[in-house]
Amino acid sequence: MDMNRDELLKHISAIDFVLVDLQLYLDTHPCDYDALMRYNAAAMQSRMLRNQYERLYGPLVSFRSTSCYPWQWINNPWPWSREFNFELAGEEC
Amino acid sequence: MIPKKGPEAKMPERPFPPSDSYMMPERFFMPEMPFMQPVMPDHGCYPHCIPQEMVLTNIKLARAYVPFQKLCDTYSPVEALVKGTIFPELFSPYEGENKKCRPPKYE
Repeated sequence: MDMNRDELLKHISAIDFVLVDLQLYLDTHPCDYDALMRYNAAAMQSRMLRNQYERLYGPLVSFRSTSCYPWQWINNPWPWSREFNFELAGEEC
Repeated sequence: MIPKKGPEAKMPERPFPPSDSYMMPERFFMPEMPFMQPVMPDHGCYPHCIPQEMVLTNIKLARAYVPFQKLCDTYSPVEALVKGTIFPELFSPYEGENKKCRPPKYE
């Protein structure tokens, strides 16, 4: 899987959104085996994509992420900068 | 609450008889009507994903009754992010005429 930074970030955001929605479903359907399998698969995929992102482009969060030397978090772009974020070009309202 | 299905599920008894003229018109007596009858759901290719629990018994006032969702197909992650839900049966964009911001057409 070879994705650029925007693509990777988009897929992380998307898979995390799937996790949120499946979590809400599982809150009311805790014994839905199929849903739990999908949730676990998505959680594993999210972890994998995050690892891949951080290995290539630096820490995603200011805590929990590991950093190589020197401290990487202060590098640009910052998460609230426009250039940090991907676009759902043509798909957004 | 798990609604009963089948012939044993009965409509609630009419709580009071419509007789006097000051009362509501006959058509407002919901218990007398075949209320909450199964209607062909307007969900395109996903009707089998939405439980058609249409016969409810022991209806109470001021209670909300929601069909119990069951897991069906889900959107791909990026499509879900765009649409705001992973469940096709819950995708219901506002399509008002006077909105500048129209939902994108997906299907």
